[in-house]
Amino acid sequence: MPEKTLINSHSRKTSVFLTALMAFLLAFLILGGNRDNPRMMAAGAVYLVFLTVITYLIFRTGMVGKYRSIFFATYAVGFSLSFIPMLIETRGSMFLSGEEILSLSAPLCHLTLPMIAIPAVVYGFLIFPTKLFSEMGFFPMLYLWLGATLFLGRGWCSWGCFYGGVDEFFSKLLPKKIVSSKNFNYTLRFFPYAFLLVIVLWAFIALEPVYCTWFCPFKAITEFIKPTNWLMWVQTGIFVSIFLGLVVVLPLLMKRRTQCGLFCPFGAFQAVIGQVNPYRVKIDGEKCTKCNTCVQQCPTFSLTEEAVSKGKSCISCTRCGKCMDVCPRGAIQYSLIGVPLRNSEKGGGFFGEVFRPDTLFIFGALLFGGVLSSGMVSTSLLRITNLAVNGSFLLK
Amino acid sequence: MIEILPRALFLGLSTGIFCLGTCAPVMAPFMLSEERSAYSEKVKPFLLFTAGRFLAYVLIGALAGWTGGLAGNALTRNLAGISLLLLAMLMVIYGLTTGFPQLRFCRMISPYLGRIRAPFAAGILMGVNLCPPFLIAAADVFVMGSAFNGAAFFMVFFAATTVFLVPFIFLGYLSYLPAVRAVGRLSSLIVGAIYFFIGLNSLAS
Repeated sequence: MPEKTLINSHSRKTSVFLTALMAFLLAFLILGGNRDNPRMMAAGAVYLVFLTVITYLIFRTGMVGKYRSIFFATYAVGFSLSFIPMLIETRGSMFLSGEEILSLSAPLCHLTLPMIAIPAVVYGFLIFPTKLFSEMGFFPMLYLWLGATLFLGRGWCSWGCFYGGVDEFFSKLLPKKIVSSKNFNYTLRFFPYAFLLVIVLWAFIALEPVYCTWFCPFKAITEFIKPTNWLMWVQTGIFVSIFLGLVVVLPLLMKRRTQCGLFCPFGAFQAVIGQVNPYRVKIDGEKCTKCNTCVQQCPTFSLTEEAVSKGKSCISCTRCGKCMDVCPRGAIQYSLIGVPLRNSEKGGGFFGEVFRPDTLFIFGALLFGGVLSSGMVSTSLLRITNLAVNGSFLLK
Repeated sequence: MIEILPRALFLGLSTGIFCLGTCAPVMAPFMLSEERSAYSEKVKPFLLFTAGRFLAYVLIGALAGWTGGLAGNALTRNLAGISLLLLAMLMVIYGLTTGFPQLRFCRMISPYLGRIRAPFAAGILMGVNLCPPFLIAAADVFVMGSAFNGAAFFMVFFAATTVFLVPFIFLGYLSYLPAVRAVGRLSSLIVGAIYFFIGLNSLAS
């Protein structure tokens, strides 16, 4: 337990209740789908224990940022360890072949949604080579995004996005930051919005998913077209450089999620659309001493001195909880629109704690992220076991 | 001559959505980047850009009608490549001077940029670019054999395609938000970088 009581901490009784409820729901949702596959069920059970422990620690200690970070990085590692070997099993490499493009078999990811929307409305077709109803096609991803937007808003970027955890993972590897962000030019945090504007218009002109073709750094851990001419080598060089620079090196040096905060156009899109979600991060002006510790620590550059003085985070806030962990006065908290801020960490009794805005948000977000990540992390556990036993990540 | 004008009108109206897509990345930064209070000031970048585009269309139309072609593929491709490179430089300089005016380079270049009216220059450079609707219109003009007819055709074509750009006037109203202005300035830099690459690629190929 930390020395100070944090604003998001709960009593032992409430924490046990919330953890038990989470374990029950996750068991139903994770294990229920794997009844005919004992190995996946066993792996799912291991992950269920992990999620249960994380849930208890978050609620009991109130260290949302710290324990969410462990969950989120595990999710990202699990995604990478399950997706890349899956590609190698099914197509022999990470390269996306011409046949798959022609047969509309490329898996769609959420990052493409802002680009394909306008051409889909104007011309009535998708500019991404995927099917409408296949498992990793357009409609499943659209529904996932809609659900995430309603449940999490931009919280998706810290609780549900399988790419965001990669940034998070690297930003946690070193104990101390090497590059200070004291002189950081906060104008740069508008870059993702500008980039979003440009790629949406460019995709509309070019009728191709230009972000995927040219920039997406996460092609480095998913799939990409094999470079066969100089232009494709340029494209490969660009996305590899962005991956190494913004996803690996800068997060390591600055201990911030630079790709998510300063580059990702989907994050900008989600920040705007995510305003439909009723949860916010607010700062209690009476408690806040303007020490700006939160400004210095916010992983996605979503807190500025101006925002602190206004008593709220910027719309790019991913609800990661880090600011609440580091605030020495417990002045920052999750809130619901129209609900007044809480004055103290304690109070309200069992029901008061269960129905607090922070409890509702964290519970919903962890449940969403837990269910979404379960297949990927469970498969990665099987692959790690297979590596230990048979010497290969591949299951087939 | 009169019979060619409805053709120009319908061609413009049917392909104008492409013009919107092509011009939007250049126009949006100009509309968003600077705070303007009066209505006339808000519309100014739109009018300047449109005037530049008009001038380029009339000149190209007259030239194409007169010569009966776009003076050979290599020349037109090079012209497009060079205009894109110039446009890219203009966008980058505009983005830097509006977004980072404290830089020494920006303090030096700002007076010159104001003198050439950046949206007007961008309109001209954008106007001579060979976007698909432009090429279709130019193909029509080749067979006319008259500079006047070519210019008239492109004037009507210009008017029809401009209808699609009118909504951009309303973007000017968003520029009162500092965040939107920052987005406009940064998007100018991004567009500049992208057009620079496309221009180089066009010249290299």
